[in-house]
Parts: sequence; structure tokens; C-alpha cells
Amino acid sequence: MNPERTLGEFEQIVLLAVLRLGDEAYGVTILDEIAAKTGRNPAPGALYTTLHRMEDKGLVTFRDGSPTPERGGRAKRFVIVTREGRNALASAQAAYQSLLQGLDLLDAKLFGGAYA
Amino acid sequence: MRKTPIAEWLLAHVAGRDRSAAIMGDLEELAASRSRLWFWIEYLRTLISLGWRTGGSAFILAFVCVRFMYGTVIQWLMNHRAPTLMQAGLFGVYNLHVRIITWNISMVMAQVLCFATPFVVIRFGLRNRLTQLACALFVIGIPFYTLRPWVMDLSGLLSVLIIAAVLVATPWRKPLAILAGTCLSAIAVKVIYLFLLPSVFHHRHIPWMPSSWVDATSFAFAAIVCVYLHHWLLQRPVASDRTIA
Repeated sequence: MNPERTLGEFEQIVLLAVLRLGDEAYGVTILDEIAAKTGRNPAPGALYTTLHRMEDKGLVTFRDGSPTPERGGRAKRFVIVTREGRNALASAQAAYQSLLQGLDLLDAKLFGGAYA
Repeated sequence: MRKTPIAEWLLAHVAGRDRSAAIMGDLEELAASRSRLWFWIEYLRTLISLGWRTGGSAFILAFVCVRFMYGTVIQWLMNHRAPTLMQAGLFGVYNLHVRIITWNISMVMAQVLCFATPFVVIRFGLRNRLTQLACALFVIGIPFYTLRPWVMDLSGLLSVLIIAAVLVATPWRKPLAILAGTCLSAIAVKVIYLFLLPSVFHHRHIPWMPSSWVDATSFAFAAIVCVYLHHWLLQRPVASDRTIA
């Protein structure tokens, strides 16, 4: 894997959330999706920093929506994962899968029944 | 909903106009189910997290680091120097030409890297190759200021070896080129002010500048060159040109 394309954990979480949301991925929905699926409540600043960094790397791109009154007349900025973003995510996940092979993380014996 | 034009204007300066409008919109939308206090706290956190890596703040913080390094660390190292530089060291007393080459490389590199290293750490982060290279050369270069011949020889030799190794390894060549451009531009400003201008305009009065101003000017120029070269050599084409999956 090209080390320049390696993704941090939070970058992977954001990319997965964006892919799950499809056409409805923008700041608010991404934060909600991450909170719902991971139990984490990331700060909006952390999300925007990550999104902008990934935009600079070419992993995501944006399209503007139409302005809405509840946003003070400001448009939503929908996030789209580029092909490079998908490839980087697939590489990172393949690495995890490779490391996980042969390990049964839900094995009751391994964790003393905590996850059984 | 309240209008927050000054807050949006400030955010636009660190994130760009399009991004800032979307961020403010998101925060407004999220604040609808929370409090106004939450809105302002998150606004400030966003402003800081997006703003501290900008060129301006990186320059200011790096310049503070330089003043600290020059004023305390290097001062302390030089106060604990060896009584004489004519000890045998690594190359022996009869190999002055080798010493002069490696010492000069090490000294000039360490001096400029006192600014360049904190600047690239703040601006580009630790995962960037340019930052990693700058940190490695800085750690190897800075012991030069112990002014102990063995340490100076070793520091100079390692610096030369690392530069040679980087020139061979393809992925590190561009970061080295950026670092070299940054260092050379800082040196060029100093040389122009301290040597070139006085020799060209020897019959005229050249306004005297405190050394900290000369440093600030040269480092500001180096920072601009660094950011420009990084954008030109290391950053990829803009996302809009890419294929959307």
C-alpha cells in the first residue's frame, strides 16, 4: 500500500459514514451517522478538519445543495467519495481483514466470556 | 436563526468562503436542538482546529520557536562547548577540508531548520514526508552547536549521508527539494541584506534592521517558498478533476 494514501482511523470512519449515507452525506448527517453507529460524538471541528484534509488528498469531493431557512439561508455541502477514496478505504480495510484472519474476536474463551 | 456575519467572515479566512458558509449552516442546524452557547463553543473549536495549521499561524508559532531556540537551547549548548575546536575529532586534525565541508552543511542546515522544522510540523503535520525529513535532519544537525569536534564531525557526516541517501530514494527527493528551496531562500534573503546590499550601495546609507527583523523577513520568505513548493511538488491535482466513484 502506498504510505501516502494510508488512512487514519477517523478518516476511515468518516469515509464509511459518507458511503453509508450516499447522496445525503453532509456535516450534520455524517455526525449523526457516526454517533448512531459507533457511539462516538466527534466535535464538528474534527469532522471538518478531516474532510478538508481528505479533500486536499483527493479522497473526497463536494457538491453544493440548495440553501435552506433552518441553516440561515446557507447551502448544504454534500460529500462524495472519489474513486481514490474508495481505493484507499478498501486498502485499509483489507489490511484490517488480513490481520483479523484466524482471530475469533467474539470467542468466549479468548475474552473470558465478556463478549460472549 | 441569527445572522453571524463577522464569525463567518473570520472562518472564511481560515477555511475559504464556500467551506465556511457550509460549516456555519451545519452549526446553525445542529444548534437548533442544542443551545446558543453550544453553537459558539463549537464555532470556536472549529475555528481553532481549522486555523492553527494555516500559513500565518504556522509562521508565527515557528518564529516563536526560533527565538526560543536561539535564545536558550543554542545558547546553552554553546556555553558547554569544548575548550578548543582543534581536537582530532572523527577525521583527525589533518583533514580540515572534510571538516569544513561537513561542518558548514551541518551548521547552515541546523540554523535554518530551527525555523523550518516547527513550521512544517504545524503546517503539514507529522505524517507528511517533508516534516519527517525536516525532523530527522534537525535532530542530527542541532548537536553541531555543542561545538565539540567529535559531535560536530559525527553530525556533519550523518547529515551528508542522509542527504545522499535521500537523493537515491525516489519518494524522498521532492521533500528534499522543498527543504533545500526553503533553506536556500532564507539564506538568500540574509545574504542579500547583510552582504550584497552593503557592497552594491556602499556609498549610500542602508537602513539598519535589528537581527530579529532580518530573521523574520528571511523566514517569512522561506515560509512562502516552502508552501508554494509543497503545493507544486507534493499536493495532488484538485479533487474536482478526479473521477467520482
